Amino acid sequence: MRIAIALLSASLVLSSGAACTGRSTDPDSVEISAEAGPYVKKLESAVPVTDAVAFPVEASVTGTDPAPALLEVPRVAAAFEPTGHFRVQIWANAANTHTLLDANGRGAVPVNEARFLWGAGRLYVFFYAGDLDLQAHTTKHDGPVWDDDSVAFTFGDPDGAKRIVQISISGVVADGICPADAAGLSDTRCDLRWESGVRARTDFDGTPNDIRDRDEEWAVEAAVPLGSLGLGSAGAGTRVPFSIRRCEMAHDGPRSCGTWGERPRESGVLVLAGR
Amino acid sequence: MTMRGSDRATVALLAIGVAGITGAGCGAGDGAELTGSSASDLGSANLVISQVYGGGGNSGATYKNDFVEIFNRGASSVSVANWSIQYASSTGSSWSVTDLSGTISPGHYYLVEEAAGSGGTTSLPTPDAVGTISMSATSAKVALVNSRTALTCGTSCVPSSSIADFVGYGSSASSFEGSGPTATLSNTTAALRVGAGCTDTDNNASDFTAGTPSPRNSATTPASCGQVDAGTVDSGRLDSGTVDAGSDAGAVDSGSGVPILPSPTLPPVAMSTLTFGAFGDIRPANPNDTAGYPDGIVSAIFAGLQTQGIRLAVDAGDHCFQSSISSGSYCHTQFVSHFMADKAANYSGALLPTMGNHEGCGEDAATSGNCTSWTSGLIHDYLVDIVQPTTGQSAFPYYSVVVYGAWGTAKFIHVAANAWTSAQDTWLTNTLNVPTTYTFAVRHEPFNDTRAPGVTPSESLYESHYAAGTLTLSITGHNHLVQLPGGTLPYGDSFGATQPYETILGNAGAPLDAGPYYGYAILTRRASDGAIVTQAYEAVSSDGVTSLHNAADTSFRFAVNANGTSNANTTLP
Repeated sequence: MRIAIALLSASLVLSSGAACTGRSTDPDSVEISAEAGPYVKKLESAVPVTDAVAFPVEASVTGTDPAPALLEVPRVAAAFEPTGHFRVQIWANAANTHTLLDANGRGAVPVNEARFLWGAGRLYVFFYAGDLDLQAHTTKHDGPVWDDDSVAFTFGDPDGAKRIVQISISGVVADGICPADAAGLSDTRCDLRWESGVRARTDFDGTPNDIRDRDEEWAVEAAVPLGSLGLGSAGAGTRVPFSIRRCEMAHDGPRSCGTWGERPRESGVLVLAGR
Repeated sequence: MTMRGSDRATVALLAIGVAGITGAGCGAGDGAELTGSSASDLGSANLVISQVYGGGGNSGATYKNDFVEIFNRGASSVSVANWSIQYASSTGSSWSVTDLSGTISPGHYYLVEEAAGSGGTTSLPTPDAVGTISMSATSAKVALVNSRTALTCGTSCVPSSSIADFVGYGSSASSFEGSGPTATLSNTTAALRVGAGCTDTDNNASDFTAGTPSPRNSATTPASCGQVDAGTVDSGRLDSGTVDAGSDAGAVDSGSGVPILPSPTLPPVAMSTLTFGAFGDIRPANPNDTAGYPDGIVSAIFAGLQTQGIRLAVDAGDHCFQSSISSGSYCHTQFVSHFMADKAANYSGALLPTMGNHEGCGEDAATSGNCTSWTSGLIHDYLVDIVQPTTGQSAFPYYSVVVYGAWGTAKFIHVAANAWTSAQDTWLTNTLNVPTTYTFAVRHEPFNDTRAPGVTPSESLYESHYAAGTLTLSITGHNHLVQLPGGTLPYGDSFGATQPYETILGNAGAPLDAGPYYGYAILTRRASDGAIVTQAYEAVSSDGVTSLHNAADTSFRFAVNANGTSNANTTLP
């Protein structure tokens, strides 16, 4: 059991009652129980496990590790269903990454941003992406959405196994558990049998797969069950290692990517707020 | 009618801050006429008598009553409470008074019904004021007076501080504005102010024509004179003597030599040199997200224009983002409290806006949306909140303006592709056909976004004029990037060709689709060969943090000749 818990902490570093900014020094940090059994089981089957990857998030922000990028995620009073449409009453005060950055640390173009809320056992995400050239071909769950215009949400410590939920502009979801060094779900080592249970709706302005008329943008609104991430007992102060990546896919191939919370530049953490 | 003393003072002050743009005669460029050449001191600069008819009820008449029609050719409402219409015979000095009341909105008419005769078959439209004066069918005097005190003059009635406008009609009228009275009228003809009531050079002889009576009241569809309100637009006073939106569009104004464009058009603007800014697409990423409005970028753009001495700028539209699935006035707030506030805080020059699809109709103001009526909704807010304060008219989402100087003439044509009607099609056709040295067409969507209803028909006209050498450049936005004519993105990327005469300048704050920065462009006429050189400038980097204010980006620069052909010499003027 202790090994399993340590593994869990490697991928989903959890603590409660932590401050919302800066490193947590809360002595009351607790480890999640083995309720995340299914996750652990799949993790064991997909990823070679060593003791070296098991450490709390506090350890990951020392030494030469990148500085944490923390976002305090407000809590919503009641659950809501994603629509894909930006509802200002819901999202106006959400945590916001603002413009994702490219590999050089500049604002990525096309521009992207993500907002976060949590509550009722879910992490909510609203993602916006500018896009002149909508591309979407994948229609089946766990298909190669990474070849389409899509956004990838990665949960887990960057040095451990990670769970990735990737959603295309068509609303097609691929999700799986990948080793730490996997670039994404396209890595054949990823286990796509894991199901996140994400509910997602998308919206776009343009004509997919037709460059004759230029497109404008797309958006994804998603609700990720915290339980499926092993965070069923998450509460105020829970820290969720997280990163986000969107790579523009154009008619003539992939282009630039924008990220938030992704190493080596930074180590993203969502801190679930009390309200 | 000419301006009041207070108006002259205002305009003179404006002229100080508007170097290079004046309302002077063609090529003068010295601001001389900004101080006005008032021949009278009238009660309102904008209310005019637009029609006089004294044959009502006479033999052969259609209308049963005489009438006088008033028109507000300005940009602000004017109260006529305690005002009057007064009448005297052609040589008399005894004046009859008809009281007025209420307020006349910009572009609106006001009908004053007078006495009926025994003939005629048709009643007037519902009058806004009623009197009992029996007017001469052929010759007399009519005054719009800012009091109800009867006048006493028989000759030389103007100038007078109490007379807002004065019309001597018929050859025997003993007093008139300018060189002479209007033509002599008859039982079937009225004195009609040309330009749908807009033209006022203080000369009854030339400001009126005799024609079929056509009474208009306050319920009549408003007309646009395109007059810029000198109090709200600082592009300089526009010489009312050159404004003519009447049936002689396409001709050249005899007083200034400036081409006359079809209505709706703004008064011509004189510029000593042809240089102007351009930018497009100024909206948040998500609908209703007023908190996400790109104020920092917009402010930096306006500050950049100001710093570079730009006094005239065009924008290619999309000033807000509001969802159709939610109620509220998000666009109104974004127009007034953000875009216009950012402009006011950072830029004192003139702005000529263009309607984008996000000011339009349809679900979430989609690119395919089309507004055929603009009396409500987002387009109405756009007209009232942005177009009115910048151009002085709010009746039309499309319009033109002539800019002129010793270097020649240029017309700016602002097409509303998401408010496309047959009337706009006709207007654009006729406007493009008026010869000018340079022609700049500003439209939101590029040529290949044919979802917008006005793109295909307007692009067809553009193509033919480009082929004929009568289109200099099409300026568009919609795509959030900058793109050179012919399709090259200046940063090693391409999403396909644009037209050879089309540039995209859509990087003014809406989330970037390509390119590293938010900014604007400046287009300047190069005196040595007359080419227009376009240079893009950065206002704010894409990360929203670093600002290389006004640093020239030499990768985006191009030159075109007046006839639209490319000019290989891109040396800045």
